[in-house]
Amino acid sequence: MLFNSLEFLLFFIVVTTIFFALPHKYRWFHLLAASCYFYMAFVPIYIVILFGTIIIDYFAGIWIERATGTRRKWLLIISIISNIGVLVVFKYYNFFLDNLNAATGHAGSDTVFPYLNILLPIGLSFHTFQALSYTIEVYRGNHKAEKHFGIYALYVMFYPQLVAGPIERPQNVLHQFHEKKFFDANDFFIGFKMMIWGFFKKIVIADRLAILVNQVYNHPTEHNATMLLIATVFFAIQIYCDFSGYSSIAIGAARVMGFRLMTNFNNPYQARSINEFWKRWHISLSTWFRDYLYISMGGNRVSVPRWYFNLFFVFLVSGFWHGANWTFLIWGALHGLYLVAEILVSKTRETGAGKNGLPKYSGVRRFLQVCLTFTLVTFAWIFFRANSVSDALYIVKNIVKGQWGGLQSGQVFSEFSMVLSFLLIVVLFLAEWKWVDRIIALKLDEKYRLNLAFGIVLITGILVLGVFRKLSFIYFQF
Amino acid sequence: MRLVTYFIIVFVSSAALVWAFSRAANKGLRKSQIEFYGKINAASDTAKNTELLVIGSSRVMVNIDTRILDSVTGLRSYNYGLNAAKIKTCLNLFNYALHFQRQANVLLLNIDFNMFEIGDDPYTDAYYYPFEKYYPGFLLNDSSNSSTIHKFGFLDVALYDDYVKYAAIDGWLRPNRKVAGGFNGYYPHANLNDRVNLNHQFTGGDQYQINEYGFSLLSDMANRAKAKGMKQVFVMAPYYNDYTTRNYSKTYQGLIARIAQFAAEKDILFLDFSALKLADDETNFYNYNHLNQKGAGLYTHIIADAIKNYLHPAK
Repeated sequence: MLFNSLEFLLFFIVVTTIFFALPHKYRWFHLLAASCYFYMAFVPIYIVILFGTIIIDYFAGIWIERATGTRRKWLLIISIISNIGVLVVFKYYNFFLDNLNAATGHAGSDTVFPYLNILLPIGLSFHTFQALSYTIEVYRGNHKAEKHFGIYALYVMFYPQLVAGPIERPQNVLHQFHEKKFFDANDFFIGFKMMIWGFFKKIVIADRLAILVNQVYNHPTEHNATMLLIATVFFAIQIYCDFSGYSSIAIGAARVMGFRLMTNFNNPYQARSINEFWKRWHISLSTWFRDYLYISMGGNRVSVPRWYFNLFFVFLVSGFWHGANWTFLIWGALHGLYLVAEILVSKTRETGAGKNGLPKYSGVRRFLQVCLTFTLVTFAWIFFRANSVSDALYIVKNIVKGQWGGLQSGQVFSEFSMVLSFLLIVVLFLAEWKWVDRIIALKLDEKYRLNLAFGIVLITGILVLGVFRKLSFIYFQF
Repeated sequence: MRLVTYFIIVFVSSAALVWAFSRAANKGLRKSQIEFYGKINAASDTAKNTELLVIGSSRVMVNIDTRILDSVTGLRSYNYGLNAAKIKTCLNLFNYALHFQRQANVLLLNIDFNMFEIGDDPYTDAYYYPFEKYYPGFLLNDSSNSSTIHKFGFLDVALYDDYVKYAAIDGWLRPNRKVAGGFNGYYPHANLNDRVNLNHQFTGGDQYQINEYGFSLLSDMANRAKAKGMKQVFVMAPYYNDYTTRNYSKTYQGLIARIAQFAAEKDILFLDFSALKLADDETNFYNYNHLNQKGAGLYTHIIADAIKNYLHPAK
């Protein structure tokens, strides 16, 4: 069930209404049942796998809390292996075999290892990481094991963030499922505004840009450098609107019922460096990697070369987390290299900027930094979006060669849509620059007319300019 | 209470704005005189009392000169040819035309090799008001997943990527802008436009097969025409000969045989003009599958004579 569907709208209204109508003691069950239904709307049978890992992690949590010494560590390892094992089988097995078969083929062997003919369970990487954060936090003693099986299952399966995050931590969410929630008009109102802003970003901007991006990236050789460049920039905006739109809807849907999920995006394209970008983009994942992988490897409290390696490795794994494909690995490696390079040249940059008369906090310098960061991030997106490494290299090569031509808008994208898309991008940046977060945070009795205008403009915009083709969210595939 | 008031105001205001936009856009569309909307408007408003409906893709729009058709057959014809239209859109066009053209008694349908590739149809059924208004059933049956459509949200207005520059907003904001047209839906092309494409290698040619769903739509069209007592003529317009033989050899035989059988069963005249003599001469072509004005003139004369003989056979 996609958020951008009428089914979800109906589902959301029914689930929220029943939630507030039920006594507190039955609400966890209602939300769990609704979440199961939500998940089973994709591929029903995969709920068995999800429940399998939930049972393992539930008992692992309790036993880890009780255990001491090596036994405690082994229980954590069992939990990690069982979670990662599912991920490996469903997400990476065929990728490994693909490369193994290619390698044996090159070596002259006729042996072909058989592939698994399976679909990737939707949102597998997200709920796996969320489950892992629970057992790790219990192991570290930062959180007590959850004794209520239903509440723990709800922690993993809570439908707003089940398939694409935010990847929550037990400290932030679990206690909320125990708390008695009363209907709060302001929570409801703020959640509603988050949701319509998310829908606007997804349906009006992301799905419109997707039409051009898909056409160009699926047939790169048929397009000139101008179109390749426009499609690449559009993809940078598309993926942001798609994923941050999803996150807004998820956080808003939870907020309507009084639950607070963590912020996942904070205007990432306003970042002045790659380091800052990752503090603003997919925050729940980048902090996950920071807390559970980077710090476990020693973080920056190691020798300098090892620190660089740690950074690079974490981003390489992050790329692999996104998908079993060399394109994602290259994307992750690029970001790893960016970060290392950023540290290496930081002093030179400061000195150079000073010599060129750009004070640290000048608007011009900030603008140039934002532009450079956006360019680097967008360059890496080429590998993220391209269907293959060769496609990505073709796109890079042709953009660099700069064989520009006119807008090949006739076949895919009309002049109208092109102009509208650029206008929407400008509107997006202006709106998110200062205003949207402030308007969303306004309570019901604050600036009523502004709140009204926000609702009317967005809903009218969605209805008039939306692309209603039920395009899935990009991050659902991960 | 304040929350309820908020939602009432927001949703009512949004609905009112959407309605107003829809009205404004559709009003503009009705005045549009260009490309698709222009053809629809002309067909519904000014070309009433058409007797011969000419339906098909661009290979109708630029290939069949309605002036010649009218003069030879003595019928009033209208060319409903629409760029890249597949059988689903052809059926929509036909149904729409019948709504206005009560005197229509002859259907001339052009068959294309790729006509039954429903997925390639660039149109949804939910576009500009006529189909939506009169044939809402098509909305429910819409199977188009075309990536080339930009429907305007929930409005009954859609912008086609291929055609948008001629379409809604353009016509609405700049009603005086016109594309040079021909006569009753016929769009003449001057000379050979693209020699490269004349020898175009279309590698996917052999993959064009008859889609059974598409064929059922063709059957619907034939049955409806028959129920209206219309005479039906199916033709296959010329392709530049070398192109046809090189690229469609397998598909060609299968499609022709199937259409011929269908036509025989339904008492329809089927004329395969795909390899006419005029198709050997590149000076008759605009590109590899469209005739220019000279070629269209020659071709329309052949069709018109055939229709005349079919309707009034020599004793």
